[in-house]
Amino acid sequence: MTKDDILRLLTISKSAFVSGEKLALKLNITRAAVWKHIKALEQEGYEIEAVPSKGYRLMSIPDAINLRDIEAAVKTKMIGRKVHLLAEVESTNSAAVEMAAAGAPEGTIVAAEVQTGGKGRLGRTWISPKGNLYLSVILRPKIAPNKAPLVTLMGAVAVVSAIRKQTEVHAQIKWPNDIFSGERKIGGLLTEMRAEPDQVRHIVLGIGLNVNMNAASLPPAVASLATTLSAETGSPVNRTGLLVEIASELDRWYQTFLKNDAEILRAWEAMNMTIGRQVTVSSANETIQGTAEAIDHDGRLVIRTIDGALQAVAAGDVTLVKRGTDTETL
Amino acid sequence: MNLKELKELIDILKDTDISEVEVERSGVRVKIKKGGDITYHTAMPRMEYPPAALVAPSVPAPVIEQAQAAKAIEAAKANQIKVASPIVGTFYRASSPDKPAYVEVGDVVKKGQILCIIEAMKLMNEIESEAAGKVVQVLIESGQPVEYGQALFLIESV
Repeated sequence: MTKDDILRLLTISKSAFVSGEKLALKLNITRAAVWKHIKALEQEGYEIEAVPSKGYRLMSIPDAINLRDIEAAVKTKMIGRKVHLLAEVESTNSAAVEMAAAGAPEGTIVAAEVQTGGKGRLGRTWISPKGNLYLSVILRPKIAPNKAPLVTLMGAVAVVSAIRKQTEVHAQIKWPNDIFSGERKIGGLLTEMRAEPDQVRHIVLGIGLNVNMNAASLPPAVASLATTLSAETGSPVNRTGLLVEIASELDRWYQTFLKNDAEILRAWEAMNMTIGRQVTVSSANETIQGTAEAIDHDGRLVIRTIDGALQAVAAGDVTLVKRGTDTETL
Repeated sequence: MNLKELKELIDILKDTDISEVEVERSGVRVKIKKGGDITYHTAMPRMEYPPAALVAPSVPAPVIEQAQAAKAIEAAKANQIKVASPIVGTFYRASSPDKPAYVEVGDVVKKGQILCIIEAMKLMNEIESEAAGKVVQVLIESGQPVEYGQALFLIESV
């Protein structure tokens, strides 16, 4: 593709100008055609300076997830062998659930720049502007449905591993699978499953990560509770590289899960920030307070309540209680 | 300890000379005696398992069920099926608190129609009806924890 060739030539010359005449000659096209391709590149978000008598030079590349770069970089066995990258979608999970029902192969990733109806738990919204990562992965593990909740813990372990490898951020997990930096949330997972009584049909693992969005543009209600990877590192994060790393870590941890799910529990424990802390878990009908003691072999959070009893919870909103009287919902 | 494991225990008893077996797991102790009494109790009172109900053992093999499942079986007629939870989790009748329930008692559902959601560790499991029919009973309140194998709905074929 000529446009890609122009981009390649501009990239090679770095900060030096390349004349329109030289580009036209090299690619065997007219100078007017070169100009058209430059305009098209600008449309894609490339910043190109054009100076008469000097030519063109590349100022910056767009912060876009690049499908060609992903396909070139993915070296996985299964996860991300096929990636659908959408400019905008209501929800990557909903799109992936539809694809899964239509027979899309295991490991397929659906990613989007923007979600117009990003999903959280129980009908809540996941704020999904440009600059972040929104992706859903189709899995078809040959396991009984009662083992499936551990897949979500596996997802959190993989995402935290990828963040730690690609950035300086020391990401941690809040039960069950929220991704935190310090005391602020940077991402979360929402998983949807269809299953027969004794066999999983498909699982869609949805991942939302705050990466390069402007943290100042977060709604006031969540601004003190959430952060982004770029705000934590102080510089933009390469989203294409991060997505490839997430695919690679998911590939590795998913194979580990299929072989021995106890290893997932151990890895989760090593990356978690919940166990040992005072917690409040609220669900539709009750609120439980106590100390988070452990996760059981099903991944449930085991809480020792004030009267000393142990209670295992499978779902609910977990609030980590800070020392003293100051509490904050995370 | 789930229903399948209990049944396996019972099968072991049936085929051997062993007359009594006692197993403890995650704070729940189950003791099964051939032809005699059955006890099923929680060692730690506040674990979230539902209170166990006992069904009189049928001859020759004893039958043991958890409370809701037992109730469902008692209520179930020949043309009714119970929809059971495939996972441990929290039962929701709607996709969000401000949405209407997927199904109400009296609704006629198709095979494969979504009846409810069971959540565990932010895994949302949409439970489909295994058969076409009329919803005759919703056995659990929305927001309540459910065990593996616990009956959720009674569906009557029409």
